[in-house]
Amino acid sequence: MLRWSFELLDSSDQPLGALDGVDQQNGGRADIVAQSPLGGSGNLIMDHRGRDIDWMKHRVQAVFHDGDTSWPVGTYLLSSPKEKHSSTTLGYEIGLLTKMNIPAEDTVDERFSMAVGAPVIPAVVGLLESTGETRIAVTPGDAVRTSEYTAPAGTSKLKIINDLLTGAGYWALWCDGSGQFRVEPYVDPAKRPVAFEFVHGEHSLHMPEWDREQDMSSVPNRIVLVTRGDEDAEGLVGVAVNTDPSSPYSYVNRGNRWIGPEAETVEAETQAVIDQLAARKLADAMNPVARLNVTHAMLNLNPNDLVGFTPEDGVRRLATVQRMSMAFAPFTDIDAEWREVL
Amino acid sequence: MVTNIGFDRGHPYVEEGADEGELRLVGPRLDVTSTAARAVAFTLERSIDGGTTWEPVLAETISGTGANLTDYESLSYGDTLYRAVAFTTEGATAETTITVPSRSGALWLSGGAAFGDTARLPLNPEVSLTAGRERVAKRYAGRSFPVAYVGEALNRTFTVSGMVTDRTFMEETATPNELVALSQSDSAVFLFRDPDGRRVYGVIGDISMPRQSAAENADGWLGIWGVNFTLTETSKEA
Repeated sequence: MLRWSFELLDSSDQPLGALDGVDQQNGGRADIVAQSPLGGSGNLIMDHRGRDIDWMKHRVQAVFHDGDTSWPVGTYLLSSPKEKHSSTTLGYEIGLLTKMNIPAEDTVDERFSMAVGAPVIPAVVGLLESTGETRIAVTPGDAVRTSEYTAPAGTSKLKIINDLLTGAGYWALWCDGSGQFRVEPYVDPAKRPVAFEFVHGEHSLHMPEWDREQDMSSVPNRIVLVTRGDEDAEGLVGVAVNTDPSSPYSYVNRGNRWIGPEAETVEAETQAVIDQLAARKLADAMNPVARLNVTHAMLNLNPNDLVGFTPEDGVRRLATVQRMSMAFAPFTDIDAEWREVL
Repeated sequence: MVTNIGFDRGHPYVEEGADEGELRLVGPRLDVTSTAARAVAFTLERSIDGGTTWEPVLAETISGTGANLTDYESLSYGDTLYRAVAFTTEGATAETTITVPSRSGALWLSGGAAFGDTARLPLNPEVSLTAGRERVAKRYAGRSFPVAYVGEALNRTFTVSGMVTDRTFMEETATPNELVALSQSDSAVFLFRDPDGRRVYGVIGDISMPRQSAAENADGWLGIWGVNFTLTETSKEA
C-alpha cells in the first residue's frame, strides 16, 4: 500500500504528532535539487483541522510509505501559508523550505576569517551549530586552509560553509530527507556506488518515455584568458583554439565561427602557464554535459546518487541524480533529471 | 470473601463479606453497608457485531439509579447489544449486557444532533452499492504487463431510492417536506441503515424527489414522490 504521512516537528525536529488534513490526492509537491545550495523546495496543500500550527517555528517531515518500508523524503520549514477560505473549509497552501534555509538566512555579524593552516571541518561544524542546528552528520577530515579565507560581516553562513567545504574537497552542505545536515567528502561520480540500476525489461521501474539532451551549440572553440596587468607590465593573454577538422566543434565545422565565452581573468605568471590554462579549459568544455529526463517509480534516492540506466537501446549509461520532483499523492512518480557521467 | 473477626465492646463477632461492604461506626456498633447497592456511575457501550467490538454510547455518567436513553445509532434490522458497566467509588464494577432486537424492513436516513432526525423510507426501497479501494496499474519500460499499486483510500457509496407520499399514512414514513428539512439540516455526517443490517456514516448529495402521481381525496391532493440520493461513506468523527 502506498501512502504519504506528514509529521509536525518542533523547532528542534522533535515530533509533535501527525499532521492531519493534508489533501490525500493532491497534497502538493516536493522538488529535490542537487545543484541548488538550498537543495530544493516544495508546497503542501491541507485543510485546517483544529491543531494550531506555529508557522514561524514548526517544521514538517514528509514520509513515503510503500508497504512495510518507509523513508523520509524531506524535512521542511513552513513558509508563507496562503489561507484558502471556502464555505465549508479553511485550507492552507504552504510553501515548504528545506532546512538549508537556516544557514542561508543566517549571516555572520562580524568579519569571518581563517588563517592558513586552520582546520576546516571543525570551523564548518561550528558555523552550522551557531545557527542553532544540532543534527549534523560529519565525516571527520583533517583538511586545513591552504590560503587565507575571509568573508565580510553580513555574509551568509551557508556561503561561507560551502566555500570552506569546496576548498577542502567536500560536498557542499546538504540536508537529507530526515532533516540531518550532512558534511561529507566529495566522491567522484565514477567512484560512487550505484544506488539503483534502471534496466529495461520485466523488472523495470522507469517509464518508457525518456529524453536526453546535450547542449552542443554552446561548446566553445576558442578560449581567451587574461591576467590583470599593472603599471609596469601589460596583462598576459592566453588563447586556445580548436581548428581540428575532425572535431565537430572546431572553427571549420562550425561554419567558420569562433564561439567562446567572454575573457576570464586568471592568475598566471608566464605566457606558457596561461596558454596551458586556456588549453585545459577548452578541453574541459569539449565534453558537453548530457542531461537525461526520466520518470520512474517512487524510490529512496538522494541527490547526487549514481544510478545505472539501461533503456530499450541496451546501452548502459551512468548518471548522477540532479533533480527529483514528486507529488504528495499516493501513486506519484518521480520526474528525475540526471546528468550523464562519461 | 473476607471475614473480619474482632471484638465489639468486649463481645466477639464474626463478619462475613467485608470486601463487599463499607464499614462505619453507628453509635457504639459497627455497621456494614453493601457497596453493590451504591453504584455511583456507569458507562454504556453498544455492539452491532455480536459483542466483537464495542463503541461508547455514554461516557461515565453519574447516576445511582441509571438513565433512560433513546439510541438513534442502533441497527434498524438486527440485534444490538448494550453493555452497562457500573462503578462504585471503591472501584468495584458490575456489568450487564442486554440484547435489543429490531426488525425494520425500511431504509433509514438520519441526521441532526446525535442522528435524532430520522427519515423512515419503507416504500419501494432500492439500494445500489458501489465499493472499492484506490488502485492504479503503471506501465514501465520493457514489461509485458503493468505493475499494480494500491493506496489507502476506500470508497463505499450507496445509491438509494424509494417512494414517499405527501402525508404519512404508514407510521413514521417520511414525507417530502421532512426529507427537504433533513437534507438542508446543518449536519455534516448522516447515518444510513438498511434491512441487511448495514449501518453506514457518510455525506449525502442532494435528495432528488420526482413527483410521480397524485390522487385527489377529501383533503386535497395526495402526491406520490420518488426519492433518490447518494450517500458516500465517511468517518463518523470529523
